[in-house]
Amino acid sequence: MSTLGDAVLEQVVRKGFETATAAEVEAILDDAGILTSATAGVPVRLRVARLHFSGTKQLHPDGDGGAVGGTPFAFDWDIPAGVSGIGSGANLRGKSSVLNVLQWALTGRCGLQEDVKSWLDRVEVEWLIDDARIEVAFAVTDMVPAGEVVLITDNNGATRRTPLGTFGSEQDFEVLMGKLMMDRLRLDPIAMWTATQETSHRWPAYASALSIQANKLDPLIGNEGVLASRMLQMFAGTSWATPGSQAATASRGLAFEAERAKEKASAATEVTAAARAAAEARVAAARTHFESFSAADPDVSTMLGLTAAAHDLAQKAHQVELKLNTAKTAAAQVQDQLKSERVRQNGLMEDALARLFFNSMEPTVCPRCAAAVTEERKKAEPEQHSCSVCSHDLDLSALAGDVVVAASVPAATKASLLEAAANAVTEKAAADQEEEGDVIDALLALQNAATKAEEAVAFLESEYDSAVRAQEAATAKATSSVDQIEAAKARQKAAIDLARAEGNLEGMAEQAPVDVSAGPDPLTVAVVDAAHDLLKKWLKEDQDPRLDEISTEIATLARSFGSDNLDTVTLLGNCSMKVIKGGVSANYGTLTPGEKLRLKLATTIALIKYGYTQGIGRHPGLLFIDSPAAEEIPEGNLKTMLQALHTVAADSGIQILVATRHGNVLQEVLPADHAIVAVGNDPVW
Amino acid sequence: MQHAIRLLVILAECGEDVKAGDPVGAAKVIRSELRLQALDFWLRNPDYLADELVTKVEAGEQPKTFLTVARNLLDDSEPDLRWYPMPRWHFGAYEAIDDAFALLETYGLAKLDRVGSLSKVVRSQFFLTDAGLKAATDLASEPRLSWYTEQVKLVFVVAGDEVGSHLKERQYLQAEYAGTELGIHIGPIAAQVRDRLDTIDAAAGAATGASGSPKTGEDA
Repeated sequence: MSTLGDAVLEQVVRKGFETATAAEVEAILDDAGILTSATAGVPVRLRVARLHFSGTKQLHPDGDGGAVGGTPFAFDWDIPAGVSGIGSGANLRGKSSVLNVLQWALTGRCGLQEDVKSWLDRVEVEWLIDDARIEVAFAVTDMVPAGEVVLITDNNGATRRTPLGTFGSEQDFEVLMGKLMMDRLRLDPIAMWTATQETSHRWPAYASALSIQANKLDPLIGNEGVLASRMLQMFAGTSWATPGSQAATASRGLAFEAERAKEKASAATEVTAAARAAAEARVAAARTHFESFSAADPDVSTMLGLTAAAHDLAQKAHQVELKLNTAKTAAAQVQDQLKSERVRQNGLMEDALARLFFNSMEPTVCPRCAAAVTEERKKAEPEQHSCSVCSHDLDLSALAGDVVVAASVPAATKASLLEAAANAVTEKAAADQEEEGDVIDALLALQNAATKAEEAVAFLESEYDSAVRAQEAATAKATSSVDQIEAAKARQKAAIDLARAEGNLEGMAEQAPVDVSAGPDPLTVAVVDAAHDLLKKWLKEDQDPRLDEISTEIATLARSFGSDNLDTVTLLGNCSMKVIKGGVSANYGTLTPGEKLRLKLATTIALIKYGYTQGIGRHPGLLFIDSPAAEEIPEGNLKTMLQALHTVAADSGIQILVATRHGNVLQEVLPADHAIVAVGNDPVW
Repeated sequence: MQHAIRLLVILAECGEDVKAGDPVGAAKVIRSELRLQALDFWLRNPDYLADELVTKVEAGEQPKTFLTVARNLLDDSEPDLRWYPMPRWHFGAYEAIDDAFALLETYGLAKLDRVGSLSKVVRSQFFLTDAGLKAATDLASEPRLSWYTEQVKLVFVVAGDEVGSHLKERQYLQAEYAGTELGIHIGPIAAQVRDRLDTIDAAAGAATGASGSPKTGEDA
């Protein structure tokens, strides 16, 4: 059980996670990548022992004094401990390149200018990491490095070279050096959360803190603002520095995850809300539709009865219709017969009347021969009963009724003629006095029959009309009751629709909370946040007294570097610095470049010294200072500073390489083997 | 007998006056059997007679009052009793008239004058005698037979003095008559004539309405 784990468990239990166990907490911290023990770190010293580089300069023949085809060069320097310097009488004479070649061999990342890089053929650097001799040697072909890293050991007088790795490209080189240096210098990666992801800062970040450039004085430690406070913790040897950065990163990661989940949940909630509103609208619509139906149940037996009645009435109407048609046909037949009879009787009557009309006349000629009917023959007709035209014997009995007809005419014809004549006489008499007889009984019978037939038709028509009306009324009733059945069916369907819509809405209500609860596990968040808070507290408690000591040392060093009027310096945990100078308070960022350079240098050296004296901390104790007098540092102040550095380095075992245009100052302050100085316009190599 | 009555009234009403050279004692004459047959056709078919009356009114040859007469011919029961269909023959509606005419001749009421041979008669002239003219006048006072003397007046309105062939052409034009198959009784056209009359009445009604004062319901 770890110290951190115990403390975190106590915290989370107090926050309500009563059931959390120590094992759970340890597992969560492990998952989150948070170390549970303090690692103050023991300083490992890094030194450079030897530098060699060679190649061919390609200078323009005019101006730079270069030769055609290039000028071969080779630079060799066995670099001693303490402060060493590279100087030249003028700028652009290769002094910065010396520092850049060293840093290339240190990090695998090349900061040389392209032309100088193109001149190089070979680089060899021998590093000392504590007691281990590590040689980095590589050829440069078309600006691409290819070589190896070798551990050199002395085995009873014999040199033994153990390869630690090879590389054929700048990338391989950087990876190899990063791994080698992080391991050998016992450095922990610095975990950081940037924007949306966790990043791990490694060797290049640390290496940047080994270099102080006059034109890059912010931040106070290293080259990257965001890393400054972490680097301060690392170099000051603060307990819990690594777990602190891990916990901070994990906490931010979880916060980010929670934020994302919240956004998702919010989006999901919006979608759910819209779906819910739609579902509610559907329920309301379904209810309105359902309530629009009458709740009364239809009477099926009544409906069936009405339908049957309508059917019966339809049959009855049909039967009446059949009767009516029969009656109409019969009436039409009677009318036809009546008409025929009238025509026949009229013909007979007219015929008789015409006969009567002509019989009253006396024949005058024979229609056959046109011979005149003589008076003799006319007299013979009543006296001798012979026809006055053709002399045939006339029928006596017929003649008595004023009907002239030959005796030889068949009896039936004679009878018909006699009857017609009698009728005609009656007709003539009836013209004045209406006297009914039984003569025209057939006609009367037919007229009676026609009247009765018409009456029957009229009766049946009225019966048919009422039957049709009754049937229509019954059909309407039956239809309306069928409609009731249909309405009941529709109501049932509406009830089902309503239930379905309500079920849908209820289902949504159950789903909603599930969406909201998405996000990081609450216990994990609680554990990580508790670890973060605890570590911040522990770190501060551990670091604050250290920073006080370091601040005092910074002030002392800065004064020795020439900041005469500096009263106090306060280095804060966030790597900012408060300065009181001539009684006036100021922040590091607002100072002049000269003041900044002195304070930055003083801070780095104070950290290294503190680490060495306390036996904790991680600064490797190697420092590159490029062109310190470039900005506002007078030559006299540079001398003072160099002297102070020389003293500090000798006391604390720090190795410092200074490149400056003021080569003469180097020669004045440093021992001869500590300085390589080009005079006038001469190049350093 | 009825046939003889019809011939008597036709000669009396539609015959032309006799001229010099015609037989003594003759009063009226019809000098074409075709004309006599055509006139008899209209007398025995009231619907065809009504149709011709409508045509005459439409042609502007007769006053509109004859439209009412035509409708009465169709609607009254009397003409219905006297619809005597006759077969169509080569000379149009035809029925042998010899027997009926012989009856008139016997009583000295009419006289037939045929020109040509026995087998091929070229022309026939039908004379009405003075006695015949008197008999026709007497007939007008007979209770039932007087129908013929009245109806034949309408026939004269329709036929006028036109020659028989023209009358037959007009009868051919009467659609139902012309469409009758040879030897088959001529069918009734009462329905068609009624339609003609209705159309004329409707047009007359519309014309009356249009010429009337415009309706101003809103002012009333």
